[in-house]
Amino acid sequence: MVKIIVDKDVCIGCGLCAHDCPMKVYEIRDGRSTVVNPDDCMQCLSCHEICPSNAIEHQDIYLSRRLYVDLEVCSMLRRFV
Amino acid sequence: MSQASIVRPEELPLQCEGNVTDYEEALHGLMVLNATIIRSLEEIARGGSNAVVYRAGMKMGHETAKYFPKTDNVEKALKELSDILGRQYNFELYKPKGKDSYIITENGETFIYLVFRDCLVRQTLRREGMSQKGPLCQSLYGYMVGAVEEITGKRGKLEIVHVGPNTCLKKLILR
Ligand code: SF4
Ligand code: SF4
Repeated sequence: MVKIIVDKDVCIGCGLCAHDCPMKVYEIRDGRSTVVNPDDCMQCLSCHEICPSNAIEHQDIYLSRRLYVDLEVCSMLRRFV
Repeated sequence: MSQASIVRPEELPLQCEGNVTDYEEALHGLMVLNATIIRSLEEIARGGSNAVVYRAGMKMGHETAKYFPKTDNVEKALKELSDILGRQYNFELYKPKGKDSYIITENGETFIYLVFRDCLVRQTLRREGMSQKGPLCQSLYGYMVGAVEEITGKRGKLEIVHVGPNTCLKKLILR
């Protein structure tokens, strides 16, 4: 089963994760995001993308392959950045 | 690259050659080409681009599923399709908590939820910084509808429920 952890120390309670999650996994309680329905998480990681404080962590999920990462371009950029 | 002075048809290799980096370069080239075609199509055909790409997807779906054994069991057909497509479009049937079947009937509509984990379309869109749910996604709708139609003889429609960086949730509505 997917395990989702919200770091309450960095969560600012903006509610974006609760709003964006299609499976209603989060609720804002006491001004912080709380995981209330982890069983329905379909591992889309939209919550990761939208969370402004990187407060969310998923464990034991399938990470889709990142074939779109152009390693050649990345290594070239690394020389400048 | 090796060069031969005389090449006869029977000497052409039957398997792919080269190393993996050659394929990687080709893959990126194809992704860029695909995205550029879609952008140009959108500029010229605007709304019509969805229909064109949908039709292309549908043809691919019919073509892929042509050799599958026919069945009227949609659930079985989808599972087989997922096994075969594995590397291109890795999808699973999804059952929300509290439902006892993958085939759900709600508000007079019968549908199956599909979660797409790996997807060639998503790879291309992210490679090129294009948003999801655009015309290129129509190819996948067409693909699934075409394949299901070919295997089961049933018509359907695919709707996006949610798109994410790692997985997309789609609804295959059965007619
Ligand atoms: S990964 Fe997707 S489904 Fe899971 S909690 Fe995040 S937004 Fe919700
Ligand atoms: S999006 Fe991030 S910061 Fe905002 S409520 Fe959710 S976990 Fe907290």
